[in-house]
Amino acid sequence: MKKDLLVLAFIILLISILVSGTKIQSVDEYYLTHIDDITEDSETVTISIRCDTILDNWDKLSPELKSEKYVPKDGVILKKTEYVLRSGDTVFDILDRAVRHNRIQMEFQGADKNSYDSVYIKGINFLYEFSCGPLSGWMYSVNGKFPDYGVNKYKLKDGDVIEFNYTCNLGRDLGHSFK
Amino acid sequence: MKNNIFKIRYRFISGLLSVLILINVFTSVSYGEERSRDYNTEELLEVIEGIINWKKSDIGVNKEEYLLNNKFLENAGDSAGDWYPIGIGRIGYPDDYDAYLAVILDRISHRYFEDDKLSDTKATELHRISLAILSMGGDPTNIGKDKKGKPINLIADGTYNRKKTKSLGVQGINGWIWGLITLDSMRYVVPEDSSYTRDEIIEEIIKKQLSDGGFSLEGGESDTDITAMAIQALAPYYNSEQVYTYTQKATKKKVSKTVRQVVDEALETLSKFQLDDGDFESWGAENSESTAQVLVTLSTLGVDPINDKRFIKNGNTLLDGIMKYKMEDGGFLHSKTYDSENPSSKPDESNSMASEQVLYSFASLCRYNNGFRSLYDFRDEMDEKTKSQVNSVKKSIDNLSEGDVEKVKEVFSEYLKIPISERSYVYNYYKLSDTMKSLGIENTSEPIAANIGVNKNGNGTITPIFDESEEFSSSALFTKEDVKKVENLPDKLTTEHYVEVVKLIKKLEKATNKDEYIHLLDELNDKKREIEKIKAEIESLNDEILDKLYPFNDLSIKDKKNVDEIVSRFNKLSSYDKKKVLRYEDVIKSKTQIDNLIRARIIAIVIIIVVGILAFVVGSRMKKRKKERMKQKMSLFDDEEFSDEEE
Repeated sequence: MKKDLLVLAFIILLISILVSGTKIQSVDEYYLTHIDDITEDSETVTISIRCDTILDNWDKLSPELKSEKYVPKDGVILKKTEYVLRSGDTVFDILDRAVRHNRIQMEFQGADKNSYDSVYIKGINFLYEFSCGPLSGWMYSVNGKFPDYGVNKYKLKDGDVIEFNYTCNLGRDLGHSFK
Repeated sequence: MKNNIFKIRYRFISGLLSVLILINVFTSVSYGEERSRDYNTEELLEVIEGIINWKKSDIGVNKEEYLLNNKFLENAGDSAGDWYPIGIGRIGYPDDYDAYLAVILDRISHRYFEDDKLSDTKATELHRISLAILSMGGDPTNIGKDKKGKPINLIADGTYNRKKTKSLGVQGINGWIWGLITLDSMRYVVPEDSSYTRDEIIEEIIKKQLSDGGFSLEGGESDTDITAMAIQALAPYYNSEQVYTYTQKATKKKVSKTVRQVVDEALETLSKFQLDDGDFESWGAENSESTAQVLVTLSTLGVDPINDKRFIKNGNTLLDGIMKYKMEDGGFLHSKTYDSENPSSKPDESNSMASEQVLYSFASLCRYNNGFRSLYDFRDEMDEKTKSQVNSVKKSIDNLSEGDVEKVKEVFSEYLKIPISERSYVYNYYKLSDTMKSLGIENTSEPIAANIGVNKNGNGTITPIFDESEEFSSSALFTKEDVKKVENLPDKLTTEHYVEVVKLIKKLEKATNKDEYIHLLDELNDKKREIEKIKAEIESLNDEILDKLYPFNDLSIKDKKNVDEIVSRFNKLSSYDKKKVLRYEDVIKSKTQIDNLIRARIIAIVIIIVVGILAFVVGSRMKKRKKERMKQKMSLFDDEEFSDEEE
């Protein structure tokens, strides 16, 4: 009689394992599949991708791009999203992760393909350099500042706020002026 | 270790310094105030060689090897690659021209074939590539065929017929400037039915002149580089008397000007921009590149870059301004001021872009000094007759005396005998024109823009300035060494071998002994196709990864097949090609995630089975016990009966 009770208890345990969905993983596997999970003590950065300036320069936009598919009504291609900061991550790494995870189109020129030795972001969401006038293209800022070097050179730290903004006037419409 | 070397060098320098100070006393005595110095061709070539050697060591090749090696060729057709060959070709520095040409041509025709837009918007890519092809001795109007079997003509697509895809102005004034430079690189003929005429392109440039006389990317204040490049483009029309009437964008006023007026105003602006050291600034930073651009401008226009008073400041010339940025290793700095925001160009480290611009600006100066065609004029050098015509008119103009009307008329008629496409080389023509005006002599010279086109196609010329004995003939023998190279190609090819295979194919195709090795051509072409297949496979894998993995949260056991397929395709690639697959770590993550899901499911099934079995066991045991209890009860009952009977 006691034995049966034990077995019953065991059955209940197994069922509860089943219901709770506990996975059995090695430590490595756990780490790998949870690398981007945000916990209380993970270091994170945020990224957003916007094209508000195009809304004010609609007449300059290439006709084939005049669609909500490319230029969302509110100008937001990716709303402010938090990502776990892996060690050594640059702005490019986070951007690449963000567009991949959110299935947003992106095209870039590799660092070895130009004399600046920098990754150059040519287009995001089919909006390219010069898509909206000769002074248009993608710019990025970190914590409100506009670095004048490539996205692959900017190493991030905990709490950084990355913004990718489309400019139609060399950044002036984003409140940035060159020295 | 580094510190040690530094100390030794420091001691050496301080020793040297005391000697130098002594010498300096003497030189300053003997030369007095004259601080600027002229550089002869030999010295200029030394600087050029220094830059090339620096670049060689920068990419890890020995001085004796070619700069345009397989690694460098990986960038043929990209902005990181194309400007060094332009500098090298214009000075005739001995290097592997055929290899660069082979790879860039193959790449371009491939991109056309794949309908992979050579950048829809950036006409300047086509311009840069055209100039690079010409500088290597190739012909950008004749690059194989596109998908529809139409011949690929980069000049048509990048200049006079650009409008058929997109306006040259999509990227602003740059597109017009480089379009015109490219169009004039061989003085190409613009066909009747083209989408642009030369005059239209010229007008697009000059109407963007700012009120201060210069040019910029986007209005506002003039920028040194853009002003310099605009003049480079307009230079062939400096001697044209054609008046353009247009509305200036900056002032919204209607103006009538010749190209010469516009250029003179722009030169004035550049002269004002020159700093005390002889150099220039752009975007707020003194730098070598802007100064190099002005050097190209003056040497293209035939304005003496060393002796023209407008470009000497505080005794310093453009050359002093550029040499200020030269580093001990032979390369050049971008700027001396440290910009904490711009770590890619350091104030104490040679910079690739600065070095390549100084390289071709020095090539431009050498060409000017030695009477060769200007930097972006790739035609064969003038024949002796034309050359002496040009020189004699130049001399006559310099010797003109104001009052001699008959002599002026005579010189002008001599000028008119020079072919229109060559008249830009009469650098002092403006003097003749001014004199004629003041004497009231009618100037009947033809407008240049409508008459400058002379070539429909043809190879760019390589001028052996660096080494006069160097011969740049493109037909060579396919040697035993080349055969060995073919034999040395591994059975299992990777994309790393692309450059080598393409080089060999082009060499064999051109070789005079082609027939001897025709069997190798088939073999090489097979290999090329194989490599192209690998390239396509890498591209397709990258697309698959983008398409099938994200977002991770939506991955389910159903995706196992896709992910497994990606993994197995990836594993078939060579280790060199594996590196070209982007974000493979995401594939591993997906695979682990799915494998875990499967394992969880298996465990679930096992648990359910175990639970079932256990439940059955417990159930059957309970039943059994119940039965036993019943039996016991029954037997108890039977016993009672039995005992009753006994009693």
